[in-house]
Amino acid sequence: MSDAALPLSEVARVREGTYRLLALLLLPPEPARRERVAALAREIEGSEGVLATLGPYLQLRRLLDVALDPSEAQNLASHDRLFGVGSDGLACPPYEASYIGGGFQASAGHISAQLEHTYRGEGLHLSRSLNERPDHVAVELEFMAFLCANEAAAWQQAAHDRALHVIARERAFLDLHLGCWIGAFAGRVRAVTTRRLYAAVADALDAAVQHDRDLTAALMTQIEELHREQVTC
Amino acid sequence: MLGILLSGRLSRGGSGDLDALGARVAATDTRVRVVADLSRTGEVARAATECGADRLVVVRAGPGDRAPSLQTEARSARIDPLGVVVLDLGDTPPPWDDAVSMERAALLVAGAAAKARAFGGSRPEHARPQFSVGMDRRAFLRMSAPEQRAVPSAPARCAAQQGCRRCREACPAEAISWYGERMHIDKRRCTSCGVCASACPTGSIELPGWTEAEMEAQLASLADRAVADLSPRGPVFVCRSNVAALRRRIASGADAAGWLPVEVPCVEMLTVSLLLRAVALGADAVGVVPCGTGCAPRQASGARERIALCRDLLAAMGTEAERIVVLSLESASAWDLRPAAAGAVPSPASADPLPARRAAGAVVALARAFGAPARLDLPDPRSPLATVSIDGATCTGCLSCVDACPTGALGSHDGNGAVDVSFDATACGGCALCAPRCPESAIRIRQGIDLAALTSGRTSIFRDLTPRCQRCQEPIAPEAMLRRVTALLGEEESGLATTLGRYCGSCRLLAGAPPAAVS
Repeated sequence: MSDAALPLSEVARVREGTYRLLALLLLPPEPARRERVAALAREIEGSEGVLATLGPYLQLRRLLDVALDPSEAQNLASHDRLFGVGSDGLACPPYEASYIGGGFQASAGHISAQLEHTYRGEGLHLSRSLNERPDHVAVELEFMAFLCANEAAAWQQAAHDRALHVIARERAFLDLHLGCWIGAFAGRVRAVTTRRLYAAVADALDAAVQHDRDLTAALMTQIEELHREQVTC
Repeated sequence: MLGILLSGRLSRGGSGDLDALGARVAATDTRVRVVADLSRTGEVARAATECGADRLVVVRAGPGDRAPSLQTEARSARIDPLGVVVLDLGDTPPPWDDAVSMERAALLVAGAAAKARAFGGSRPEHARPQFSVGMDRRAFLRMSAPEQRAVPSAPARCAAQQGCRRCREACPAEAISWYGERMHIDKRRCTSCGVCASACPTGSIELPGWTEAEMEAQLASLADRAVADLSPRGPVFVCRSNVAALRRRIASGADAAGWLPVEVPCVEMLTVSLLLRAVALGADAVGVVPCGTGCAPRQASGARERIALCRDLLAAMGTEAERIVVLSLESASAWDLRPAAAGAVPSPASADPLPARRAAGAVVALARAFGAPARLDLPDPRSPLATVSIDGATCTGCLSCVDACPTGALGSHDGNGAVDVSFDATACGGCALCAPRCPESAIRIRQGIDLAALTSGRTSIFRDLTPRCQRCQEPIAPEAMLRRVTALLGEEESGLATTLGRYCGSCRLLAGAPPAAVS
């Protein structure tokens, strides 16, 4: 833990890891994925100093504790009960279209098209092996992880303008997509789940997205002010 | 477990002072530690972890005696940083070798501890990261740790759907809007002044760290004669932009030793119930320092009006209006604190989330303590309480007013062949959402403090018989409503009016058919 100014690249890396971890935890728990979850959780734990400076630390810390607890390992049955199709439909549909536009599936196509356009703009396309819609929570979280990785790289290369552009895209994506529905999704998971793991995932997800919306806004304001000062000088 | 961390810098009078202070504030749910150097990174987190604390009070020796990033340290000890109470004893510098200063220090720490204990936790929507230090051009690739600032949110009981817009009207930063029928607070605009929380008639807006429950707990502890023997004494509410100046003022004047600072985000957020509760808890006086120029909502005059109302009420109760006083940091007058002529009987803090109930509780407690006349009636548009009456000649008993009431002050009972509308004055904040919903304009709202209404419990304010359906025996509608409908239908539709008066909505279509035909 240090009070010294934090390297922005490290902050972006921790945020990237957080999004990636959440995305993995919300996908079906295949053995390879479970190993990646454990590895990633340990990696984020290694950045405890940076993590503790961020708002959602308490929720993320709880998530890491649970994710690294062998007795809390994910199992397919509990994942499917929450996010799979049950006898009475999806308990917690992990799709943006289920929460936006009154949940009408008519908007699913529109939202998917919008998202695919956004992903393509970054040179990405959906992997066929995933076999999921573009508005699946894990896909949107993985996209945020990708943007954070770009931001970290930009800071590392001292490419300030590029970093600012990436932050602006992060903010836009949070405002237009993740931030609009993740609160409702997390609330539903909290209400339905009996597993400590998914309760922790819901809390961390809600906290991380809300915090990042505010953090990216505050960062943009700070950096823009600095730019204005430079122009004035 | 509550952890109280005392800064080592407070031990200038010798470690005996700190030990004595620690012993004074120790409790079964409290552990006290002395932190040699608050400014050393990791010290606060280590001490808090040692205490096993989930709530924290940090007592420092002055504004310069601070942990570099207290929030980070709190988080590292797994404590919600928005609930950490920082107490500055700069106005009560050690050595505490006289009775007054030790009693004062013990009271202030006990007050902070009570506030920390009453903290109800925060949620992600309550936090807004902000950078207290601007980015340095030479260190463009680095950022200071963002500080989380508390912002309000309204998770439940919000009366927006009933048409309430009190918080939006009150917000000096214009940070509140509506999406559909849901309230939305723009975190970037919000100044965390807490004015919206005070304006909310249902008490649904929470500002963690500054809830009325937390402040009441602090006031109760500051007034508790068992905690310390300091007399006279009284809390002085001060905006965070003025708190340093107030501490300097208290430290510089012997006349001010009994004043105990209670920091609030902005004095505009002070409610009548909080001011009255402070008196009811036994304070000799209650001071309010108006906000300084750095405080945006200070242009509003709400706090001054509320203070004036409280003073009028105290006078009407036969005690000194000067027990609530506006204190100026620039002026020497009014700072002289004297024991109150009539002592209030300390009453337990009200845990009710409904603001009107808290206000009513404070008024009734004061009335009992001061022996106020039972018929005390103070009509006043500034009052946080109101009484509702219904014009029985025009009311049709449609119960729209009951549906519109967000606090449950208006209630109804429909049974035994009659409809009954009741009113509980202790739950009515005068939000006036009922009046525009009444189709007959039969509602009368009287803003003011009516002690008889506050002590009489729930009373019936409208009652009418409800005829029963001749077919199924279910109630049809109140007689007044049927009379009104008959009048509207006129002579030409008298047959229809007769049917309406005989059958309920379900049986009307079958009117005339023998019961056996539909059974």
